[in-house]
Amino acid sequence: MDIINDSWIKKTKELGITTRYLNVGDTEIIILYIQQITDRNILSLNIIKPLLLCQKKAITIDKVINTIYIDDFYTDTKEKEIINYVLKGNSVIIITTEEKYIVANTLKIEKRQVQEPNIENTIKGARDAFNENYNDNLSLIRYRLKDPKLRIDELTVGKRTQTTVAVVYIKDIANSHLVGTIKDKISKIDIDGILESSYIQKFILNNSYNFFPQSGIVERSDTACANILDGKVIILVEGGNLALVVPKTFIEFFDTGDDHFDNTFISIFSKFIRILCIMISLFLTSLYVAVVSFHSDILPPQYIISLATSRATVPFNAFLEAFLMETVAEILREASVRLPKQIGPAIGIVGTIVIGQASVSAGLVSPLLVIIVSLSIMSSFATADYSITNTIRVLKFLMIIVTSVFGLFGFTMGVILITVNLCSMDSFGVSYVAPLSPLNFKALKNLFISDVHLSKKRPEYLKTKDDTRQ
Amino acid sequence: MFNISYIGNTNFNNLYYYINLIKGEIMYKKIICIFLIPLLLFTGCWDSKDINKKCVNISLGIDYVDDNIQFCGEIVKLTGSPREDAGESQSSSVYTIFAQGKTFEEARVNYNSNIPYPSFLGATRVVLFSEEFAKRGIESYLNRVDSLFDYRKTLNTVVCREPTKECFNIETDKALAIGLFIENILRNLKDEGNSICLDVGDLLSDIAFGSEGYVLPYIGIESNDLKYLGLAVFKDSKLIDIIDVQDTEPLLYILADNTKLVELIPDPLDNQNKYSFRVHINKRKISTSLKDDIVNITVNLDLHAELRYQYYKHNISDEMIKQLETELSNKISNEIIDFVKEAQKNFKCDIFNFGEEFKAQHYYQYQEIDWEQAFLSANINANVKTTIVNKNLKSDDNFKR
Repeated sequence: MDIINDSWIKKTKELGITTRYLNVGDTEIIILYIQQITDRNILSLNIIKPLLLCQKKAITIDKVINTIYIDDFYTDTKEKEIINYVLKGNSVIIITTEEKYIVANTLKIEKRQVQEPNIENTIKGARDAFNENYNDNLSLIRYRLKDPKLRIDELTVGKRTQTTVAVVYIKDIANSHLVGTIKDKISKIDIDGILESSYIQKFILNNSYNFFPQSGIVERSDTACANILDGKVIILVEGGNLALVVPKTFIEFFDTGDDHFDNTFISIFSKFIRILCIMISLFLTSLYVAVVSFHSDILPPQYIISLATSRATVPFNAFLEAFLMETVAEILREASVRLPKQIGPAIGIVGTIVIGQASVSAGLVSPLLVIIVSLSIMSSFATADYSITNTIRVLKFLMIIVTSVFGLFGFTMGVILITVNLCSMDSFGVSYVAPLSPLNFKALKNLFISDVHLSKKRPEYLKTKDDTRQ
Repeated sequence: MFNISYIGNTNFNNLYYYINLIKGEIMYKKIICIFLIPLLLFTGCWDSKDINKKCVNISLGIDYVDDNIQFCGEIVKLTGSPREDAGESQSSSVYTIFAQGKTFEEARVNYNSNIPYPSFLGATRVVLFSEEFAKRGIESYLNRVDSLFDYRKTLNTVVCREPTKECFNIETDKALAIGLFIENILRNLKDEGNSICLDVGDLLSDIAFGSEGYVLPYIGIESNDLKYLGLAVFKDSKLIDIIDVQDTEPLLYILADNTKLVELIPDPLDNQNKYSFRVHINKRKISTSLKDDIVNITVNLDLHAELRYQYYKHNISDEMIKQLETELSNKISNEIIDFVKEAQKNFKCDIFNFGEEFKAQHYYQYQEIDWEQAFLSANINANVKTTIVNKNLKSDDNFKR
């Protein structure tokens, strides 16, 4: 092999690659690996030891293959790829007299165990969530889906990170055009590094400046498998603990996996509660501003009196009061995400006391607004998919601003603009408000009554190859 | 889009140069946005005030004092702090404003001079007319309510015996504002079917119809508290008479909703015994006809009665039940006929809305007659059928004796 010379070896040392020389018979064998990402036990016991015990005089690559105890390996001849293989955690076994070399998978990296989900909590469902390890995530999916038609297409993205991205789908269910589009978009990504699935999300969307997410995120493996069975495509990224699911419609953000196997009536009730929570989170504060500032007449007279009395000492107008309270609530929310666990509860108590009790006592805000803001914040966490929550947070502020300028007319304008935006969007060719528009009663019924024994067909708007489930 | 061909005048060369600079759709859109956004800033309700920066009127009183119109307003006191005693009812914190003027407008100007914030009439529940003002006519004020944009037409209207200033100055034992107290009284009476409550919208509708007369609740101060005293009769929107609360029953049978009145019938067999019935209207229909230029009006009532108790417990047979039903029907029927005849004689106006019924049933004939005169000579009949639906029989009361 021509590339092996002193300068090349020196270069590999600079990259942190360790070189182990072995003399087996009359042949020099070089093993290249990186200590931090190599399983040294496997290397020592399964590769080096068998080679050293080998009595043969003339060693060839084929003989080495028959000597070492490695299940995952392949051979290559491209000299320029050797360093890349080593950087990926492989051990490269080179015989100086041969063109071919062996790439053995001895990757060992520190990883988190499979743990409970953080953002996709459930009461009855499975709790094994994805972690940052690519193989672990794939194993969770393969464990649940033993379909021979399950396809895991791997792509490498990122010039410097060489991140593996898996596109997972079932070949005879998923729409081929959808799969092709996704793979095409991923392969066209030209960036130096991909660290997480959200990077991929930004690149594959039609319009990354849209408020509403056009893909969902999945943390639990059972949810991912359910989406694959529906005919959707899951995108797993090496190093990321959240998978992307495409396509995703707006109404699906209110659907949790539990709805499919829970009591039918409970699941319908829960779904309506979630929709109500979104409405509350998005519109309640702006309605407060509209009523207090412009349209007090719409309230019953007794309540006008108590509302006016409760705001008697508030120095701000309704818009400023609402805007400030919402901003403070958002500050608390942001702070609580990054708090160390030891002081998290303390800050929660401080926030509650300061924001709730003290502000009202000081006469800075009215008690009603504290209730409204608290309800709004709590309601925003009621959605099944976390990715819509951030959208709601931003839109809420825009609604407050437009309502404070135009009153109920502005509120209506805001609602119409949001609706128009939703109706104009699509998620990989699927209308974002499907099955409301285009209207499909059957799919709508299946979405709201998402009982597993009643869902005999897959959603029509996904245009799957095989729509029969039962 | 701004490519302009050669204009042919060197004076425009500079302009052409600058216009040429403005090229492309993106720049065009930017210009539009730059012009539109300031326009948005100039629209919207910039002079709106929050509800706590307005004087929330709970009730209003209109009176004539020394030939001046006097406005009395009960306004919610908003100076309290949220920390104050939670046990105190917020709605009892009110203050009263009085203002006078030769006209409504002048009185209003004086009224506005006394209040710290703009007046908010959206929460007003009651408008109180003094007897003095009511005698001179309330139509002008009703038209005022009709036109002012923040006045609700669901205002309850009430006539008070005493001047409105006295009414608003009394201190009641209940922790309520006077306006809310009056509203609660009226609502309670209306729900029980014990009074006829018309709001401003109803009155305007009657006036527009051309209806001569209507009745409004009449209250007064007794034992330093407000009390419902009966009904005030209005003809051409002027107060002409008062019907005492004890005498309003026939009118309630004809006009009130959800009427539940108590009737006392003497026992035909025993003078000392009396039967107390609660009567409610199952069906009510006013039939009208015109024959030989005489209007005939028949009040058809289908009543259900429940025997509440007897003064002295006696056995009640089925024949007795039938007799009591007949007694009840006759009693109510006679009361109605007498009352309407008295209204024809004393009030000389139709306060029963018979004109609306006649117009609905005989439209073309209604157009040919003068209802005001026709009503005065109309024949009144009452066809009352009472069914005792609940004899309130207990095991040891009516069976064993």
